[in-house]
Amino acid sequence: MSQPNSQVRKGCPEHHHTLHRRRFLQGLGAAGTTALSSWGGLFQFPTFADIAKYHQKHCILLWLCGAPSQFETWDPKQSRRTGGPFGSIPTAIPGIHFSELMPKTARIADRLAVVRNMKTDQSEHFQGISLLNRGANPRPPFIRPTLGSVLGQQLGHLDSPIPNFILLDPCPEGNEFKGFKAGNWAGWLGAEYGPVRAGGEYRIENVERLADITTTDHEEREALRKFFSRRFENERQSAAARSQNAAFERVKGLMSCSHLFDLEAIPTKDRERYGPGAFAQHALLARHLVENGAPFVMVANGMPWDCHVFHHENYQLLVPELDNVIYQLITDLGERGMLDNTLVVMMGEFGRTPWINSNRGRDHYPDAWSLAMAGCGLNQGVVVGETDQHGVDVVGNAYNEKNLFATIFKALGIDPYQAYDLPGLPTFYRVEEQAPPIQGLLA
Amino acid sequence: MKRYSHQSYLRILLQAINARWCRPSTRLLFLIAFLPLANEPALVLASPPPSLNAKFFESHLRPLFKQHCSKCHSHVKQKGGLNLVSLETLLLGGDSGSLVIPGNADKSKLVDVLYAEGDPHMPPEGQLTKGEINMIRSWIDTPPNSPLNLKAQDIKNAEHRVSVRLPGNHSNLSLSHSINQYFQHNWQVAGIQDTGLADDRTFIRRVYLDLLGRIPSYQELQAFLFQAKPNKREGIVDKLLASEEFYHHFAQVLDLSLMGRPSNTNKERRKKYGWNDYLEQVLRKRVPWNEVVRSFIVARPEDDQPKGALWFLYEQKNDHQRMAERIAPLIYGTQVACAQCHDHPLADEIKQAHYWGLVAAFNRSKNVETKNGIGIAESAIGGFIDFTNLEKESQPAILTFLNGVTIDERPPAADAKEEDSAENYRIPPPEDTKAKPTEPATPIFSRREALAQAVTDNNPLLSKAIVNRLWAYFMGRGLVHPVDEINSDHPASHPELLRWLGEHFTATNYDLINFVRELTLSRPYQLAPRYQHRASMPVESFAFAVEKPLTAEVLLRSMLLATGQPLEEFRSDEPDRFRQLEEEFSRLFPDVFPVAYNATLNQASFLTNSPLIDQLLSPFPSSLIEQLQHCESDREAVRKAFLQIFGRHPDGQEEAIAAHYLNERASTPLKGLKQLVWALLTSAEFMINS
Repeated sequence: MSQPNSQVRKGCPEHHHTLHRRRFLQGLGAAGTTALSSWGGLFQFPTFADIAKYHQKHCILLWLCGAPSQFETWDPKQSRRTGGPFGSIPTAIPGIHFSELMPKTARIADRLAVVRNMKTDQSEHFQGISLLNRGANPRPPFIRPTLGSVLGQQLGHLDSPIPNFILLDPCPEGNEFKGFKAGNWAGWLGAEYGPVRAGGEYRIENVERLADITTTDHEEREALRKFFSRRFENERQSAAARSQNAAFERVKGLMSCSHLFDLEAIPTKDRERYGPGAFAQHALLARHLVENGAPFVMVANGMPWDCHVFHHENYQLLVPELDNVIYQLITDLGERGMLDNTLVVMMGEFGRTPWINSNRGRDHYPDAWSLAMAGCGLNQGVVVGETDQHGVDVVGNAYNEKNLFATIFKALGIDPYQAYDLPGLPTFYRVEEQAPPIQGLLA
Repeated sequence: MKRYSHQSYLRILLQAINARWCRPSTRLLFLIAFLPLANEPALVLASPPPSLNAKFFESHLRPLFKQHCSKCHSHVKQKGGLNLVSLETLLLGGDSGSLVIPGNADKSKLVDVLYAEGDPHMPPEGQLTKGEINMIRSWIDTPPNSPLNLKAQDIKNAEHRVSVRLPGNHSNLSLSHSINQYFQHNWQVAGIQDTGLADDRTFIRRVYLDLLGRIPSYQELQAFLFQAKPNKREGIVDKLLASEEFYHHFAQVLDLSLMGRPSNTNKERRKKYGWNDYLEQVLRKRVPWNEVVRSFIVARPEDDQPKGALWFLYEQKNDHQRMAERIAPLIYGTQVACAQCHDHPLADEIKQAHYWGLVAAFNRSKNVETKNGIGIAESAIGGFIDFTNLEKESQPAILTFLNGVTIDERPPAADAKEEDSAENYRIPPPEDTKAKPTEPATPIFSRREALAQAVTDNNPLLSKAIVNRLWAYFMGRGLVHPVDEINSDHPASHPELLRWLGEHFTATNYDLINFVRELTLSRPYQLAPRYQHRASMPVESFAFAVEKPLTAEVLLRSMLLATGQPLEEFRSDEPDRFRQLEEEFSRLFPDVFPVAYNATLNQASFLTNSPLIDQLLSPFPSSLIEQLQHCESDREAVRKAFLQIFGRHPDGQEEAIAAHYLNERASTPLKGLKQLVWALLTSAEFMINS
């Protein structure tokens, strides 16, 4: 970058030099004072720890986008026509088998809560993703906030330096998931409850200070912006300006916690334990973020589970990775005493067909599918519901997204049936129709 | 749940009343609440002859209850068995008996609960004003045929506007003058003083942002300020309205507000299939708006017509419900998606049959590729569907539309199979279904044409819909807000004005440009912003300029202009960087007509740390930074930066502080200047059109 000719411009009048820089910036207003005098102390590590204590509950969503097959995971049908080539193995729960692709998870099944009788009504990805993220079918033009937005709002607070809703997803693509990601996550809660998305470098976007600006300049530039902007806000009593200024106010906090997104800072042996691959590393990062106060972290990785072709070949790679991630995450949270107040949810948007198509794939199947949860006081070592011998349909009671959301909210101490206070809109509830939670999971 | 007999209810009730914790007022409440249980079940009497002023209920109380009570006490939900939507249901009372004792407000439970100390208190999380409560009291106390004894102050809440006579549509008065007269009278009656005309600097910035989608350049600003013509505001409006830049920007506004922000793929397709060109053409050639909407619905452009209009339906990819939901706001002024599963819960006039009637208008349509490009074929048969309400009652969807028109179409007998034949068509479908047709199939009786006929000719809703949108775009808030909710649940702030503007628009041949011109020349548009001491002035008074946060596209263009990047050159010289900026801005910043505005953390961290923004601040010949570097002094640089970015001079304090900031960085002057420019570009004054 070219430096200007210093002869071209002259300095400013003499008397201004008598102002000391600090005093000058402190004079910019009360908010400026706070930001500067507290800088360095405010966003240090102890604060995060305090916030971690303040947030009693957390949630990690392992979002298995594309829809994983229940047959190769939680609900194997060994030696049935629909069962596929893989066998099943006993688990730590007497009488319960998982797919043989999940040996590690089988060993800790006594800490999990598995639901085998999910039945939902959307069989296309976009609609399914929306359904399982929002907990209800759409009712346009109203947009229901996603689970992450609701939990961020309920478990976090807006002035926390660590984002309330973190989406870890290194994959910019992902077919229908890409479309969903581009959409409106926070719905009627308002954009401030949308996710902060971490990109492929495992960093949140735009939190690195620009190279050619010093920390002091960075702060003082913001103080100058605030001086101009606050005047406008105050003179006009401008609500728009107020919300802009509030957003800039949070940037420093976000930048100060960007180190929490640095995988390098996590011990190598932990990283090796979780294994290579973005999904595994992000699951570890989720644990790290939750430990440091994040209320909700969603771990996703494009849409890998949608195997209409060569299903079993793909699943031989996908499921063992998931198996290890679940095992590491659950034992990790347990050892750190975090499982009691952290809910882990492992699911996709639906299941896969019992029958195998001509491309050796399994297609979309919302009629009878499985998911698993753990922690946060859920009963341990329980399996709820069952499917018939071929896994074609649920036997007896079935649960849908509303029951699931009621369960999640209850486990996290949130009233599932509270009405949203939305002036001018119809009455919506966190969970519609008073749908009861899944029976047998909540202690 | 355990069931209690009446006796045990009584016992519990008596225990509760006798308990020491029970305050006298609570005791009374217990009695009122549970008395019906203690006795035999109360009989519900048929509504008594009206003993209250029904007209006043309709005009003053119904809107009040709708606003404060309908969430819990309406057709949808009746907490405590109570429905306050109509006088009849109100008189039925609730589970705990009647609410109102005509002639005795003191003893009416409805009144009790409204006071701050009411127990229970209604609305649970709000408080009606004293005036509103007094209004309800006098309504109860006054016999139906006597005039209500109300203080003017008391009814001001419910009636803060007074209708005035608007001129006939053939009057010589221009539209903008009529609007001015209307509001001046209104403000006077309501005791409101407007903020006065905005100064020239504010006006020119506003009108450039609204009409061209960018701030004025320094030269444009100066040229306007130093013009001495008396009617120069009119002059600049006319000049801008005739510019290519206006057509381009306004076509984009129409695009985003009609179709929503596109995905990257659809963005390309809208260009490729002539949609954007079509919209520009509409503006350039002043195509009447009803013809535009007609061409969206019929979607069969004549040979000499541009093809772009049919993209409106084509992008919906054969999803007939989406077609209906997209077109409804244009022809009805209201969303109808709410009525998909049941009649609209709050706007009685929108029935489920209207939703499905509109779907039926499109459900014979199919996207096709012809030898002459894309088209939308229409079948002559089929499309007879049934819809089911929540009570599982099913009925056939007929072509019935919200503006009262129903198309008579004979459905086939229940078990008859419809036979199609070429005789049903003007252009029959190809016999070989796999072959590409030359033209899309066109039936002799076309449902799309029937709909177009019914709603683009003599349909007041069509005019009201676009008029309200344009009003919202320029004034910062619709006469009905949100813009797509012109229905009985969202009363207009100035219903007579909306009706009149609609009629005027129809009478002036649905001319968008003329309407835009008159709006920008009207006094409400040209008012100054609301400063602190007027913070309580209501937004819907239109007595000050409502702030409008810049939309993504406008913000980007304005930033480019302010930093000295010539837009067209930048677009062609650095297409990748331009595309990246466009994508980031449209991902992060507001859309046209956001229902609510909230700045986000992602916006702020993008503006703070993104190298894309930093790059905009790099010096190059003609850039603002380069110009600032050549200023004689820090103060001169500050003044220049303010002028170019905010379009005004800094005041003494701003100038001193900013100049000092630069002086502190005298050893690295470029950095200092970049920081100053950044601070101005990212501050509220730049990012808001006020």
